[in-house]
Amino acid sequence: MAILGKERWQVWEEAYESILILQDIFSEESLDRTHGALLVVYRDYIEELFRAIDSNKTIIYGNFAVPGTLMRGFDTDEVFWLQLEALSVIQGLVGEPAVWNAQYVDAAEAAGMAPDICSVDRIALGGYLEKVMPPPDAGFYLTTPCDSQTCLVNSMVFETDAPTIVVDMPYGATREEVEYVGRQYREVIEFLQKNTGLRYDFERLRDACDKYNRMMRLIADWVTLRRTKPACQPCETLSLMAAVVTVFSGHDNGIDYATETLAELKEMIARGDRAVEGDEVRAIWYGDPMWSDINFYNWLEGECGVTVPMDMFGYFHADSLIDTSSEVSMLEDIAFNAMRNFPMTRQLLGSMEDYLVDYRTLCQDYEADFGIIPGHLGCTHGWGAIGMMRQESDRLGIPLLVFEFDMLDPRITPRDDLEVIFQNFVEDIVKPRKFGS
Amino acid sequence: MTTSGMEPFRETVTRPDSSYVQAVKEAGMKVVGFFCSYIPLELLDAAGVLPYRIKGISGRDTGPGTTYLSSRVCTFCRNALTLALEEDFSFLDGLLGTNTCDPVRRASQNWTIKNPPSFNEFVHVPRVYREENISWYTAELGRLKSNLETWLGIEIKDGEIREAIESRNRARAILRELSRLRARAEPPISGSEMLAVSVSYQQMPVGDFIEAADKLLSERREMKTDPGRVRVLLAGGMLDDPDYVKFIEDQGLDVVADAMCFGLRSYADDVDLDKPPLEAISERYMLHFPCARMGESFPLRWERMLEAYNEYKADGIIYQRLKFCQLWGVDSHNMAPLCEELDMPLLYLEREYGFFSTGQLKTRLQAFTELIEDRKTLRT
Repeated sequence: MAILGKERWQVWEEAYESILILQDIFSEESLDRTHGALLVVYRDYIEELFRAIDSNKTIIYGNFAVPGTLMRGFDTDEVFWLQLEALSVIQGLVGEPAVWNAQYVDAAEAAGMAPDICSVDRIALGGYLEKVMPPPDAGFYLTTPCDSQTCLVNSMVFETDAPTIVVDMPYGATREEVEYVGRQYREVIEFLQKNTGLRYDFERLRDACDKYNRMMRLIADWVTLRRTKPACQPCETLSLMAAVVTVFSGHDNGIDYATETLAELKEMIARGDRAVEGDEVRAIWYGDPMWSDINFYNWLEGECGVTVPMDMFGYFHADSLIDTSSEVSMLEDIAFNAMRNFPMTRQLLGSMEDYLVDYRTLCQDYEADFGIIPGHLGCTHGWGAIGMMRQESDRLGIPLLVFEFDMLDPRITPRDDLEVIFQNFVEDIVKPRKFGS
Repeated sequence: MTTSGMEPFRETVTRPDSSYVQAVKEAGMKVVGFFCSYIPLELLDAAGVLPYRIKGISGRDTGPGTTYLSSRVCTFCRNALTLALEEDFSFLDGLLGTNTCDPVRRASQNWTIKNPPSFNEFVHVPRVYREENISWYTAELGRLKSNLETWLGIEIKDGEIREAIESRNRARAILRELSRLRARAEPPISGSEMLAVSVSYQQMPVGDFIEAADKLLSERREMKTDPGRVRVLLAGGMLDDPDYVKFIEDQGLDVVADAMCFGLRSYADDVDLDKPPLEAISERYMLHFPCARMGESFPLRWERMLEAYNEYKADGIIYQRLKFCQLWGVDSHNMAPLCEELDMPLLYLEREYGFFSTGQLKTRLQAFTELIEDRKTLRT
């Protein structure tokens, strides 16, 4: 099928078609408000991408942690900000990762990118090499959350030859460090204005910050309500949150999604819904989500009796709202958000303690029976903390399941293997501890 | 090809607590370990401590390091952390952690939690180099200086930093001169020897290093050697093992130049003595021949690599990278089309720290040598 009356790249076409089919399905399941809202925001995203191409908008590439709110100071009628990870995540959520993500991984490796680089970045490069992304007019990247993202910057600078600016993200989030990033954001604005001819408007930014604050208040309520025991909202909802916040911060779609997800959760609590029939065992999923096979979460609840009340990608905080009183306060608070409210950067970029504290807090606040470290193969800073995580889990008296997989490439660990790993761990270790043998 | 001038360097790279380290300790000096070429030796010299760049020990079992870092992290970090946990670095009084890369950051964090040295600092080195970032690094060095002063109970004066800069500039000038001998048609110093010398530069007291390197330079300037063989530039990430380079050379190649952090990248550039010292140090370290850790750095790195390739009249490039080293996992992609365009033979080697499969490596190196020789024959 053709989107907006034109033939498009098949990879996007298929994702778009899937969204429409899923929308038909979910329109009959009116209770599933989260999925309904997710499909709307991603349908809008793909349509917006194609409108951007048709109307020759300025295309700016960005990586995972580039704050959407900051970009909305530019006129969205003139610019489209394309996150390089969007393609792979959309494939994971509504497409066929085994087909498309795998194809782009292979393309990047065939072009010489090392296979141990995070698949997120191999897919981004592979997608670019396979020409399924519009060429950029400029690039704006952050050196977070990991080495692999910096690698991607180096390859995109080389491949695209577009004017590029990179923001250095520091180790911590002290006042000086926040100011440092805030000043760099100012440089980014000047750089992009100079190199694209676009005009930045701080009033537009203020409006986007207000929207961000509204969205984040809703999400904060949702984060708190997810503590409800027994868990009622499905665990796959968690991993979707970061995917939405990343792209739709400061945008009405972000608010709409957060509103629906929170409303759904409240309704479920009011009705006394349960994610798992019978006794649940609760886990904290502390790492990258299973976007290579999003249905795995349903299996986890349905077949294994495991609920995940919170994970790393859903854990946002309302203590980092944006003060809109001045240009400086907005830039610095957006900086602070990128450092302390963005999944992975918050936990993994700085000290080991940052990483352990959140795990400890999550296990306690959400009354976890066990922890899960999803060992995404390219996540070296996660792997580099694995020994300390085991010690921390021992200290908390909580069993820890560590397994290898790839968050976007389902070929790495077959689903059957994952099921056996989880089943054995839950049945042999977690349930006997909780319910007795 | 061997001379007594190499002895101090051979000894230094063979074991962590070399006789130089022992002498420093006996004299009551402190030793501070660090992981990265972005840490300024000059500041530590000026503080009166010995800067000691961490390297591993070839062939050492990495079990304890792997327990903490997993097997998905490069073998260099696992090896170094193992040595730290097993007290091989017990002579270190301090450790400077950095965000060189994620595994190095994690290795130093695990180290300081499990076996904390008395001085333990984390230095945030920016990964981009606009003016704002260089100023940030200057301030970061100011913080490090102040913390060193508190730890040691001293004041580090600008004059002392300038003296340290002069010494290090002198040491780097000798290293460059030694390295340039390799541009001769018959190189009087091998790549493996050159690597041993430049590793030692980052582990020996600078005065001792200058003396020993000067002696070696005098010896080698006059040395007559055999006719040269196929000449290669060795590029890529962390490589501190002269034996690995020797193995390459044993297959009929001369490693006449390099572009590695323990090699040319550590001594290619000097610190400007006409600027305020911390600012000058910050500029030199941020703007030196860049590591792949730096965003947007490939064009500059390639330009410097190309300069070395031409200056040393290399016939090809060997690009080596530790398995799981993500930072250096991209340059291979970027370099391949450029090498093809410029008709530069490129061999890509993935390796583990301290171990290598000699049979397989030998075959690939010999094939690469033959390829270059055939091309030369065809051209003549």
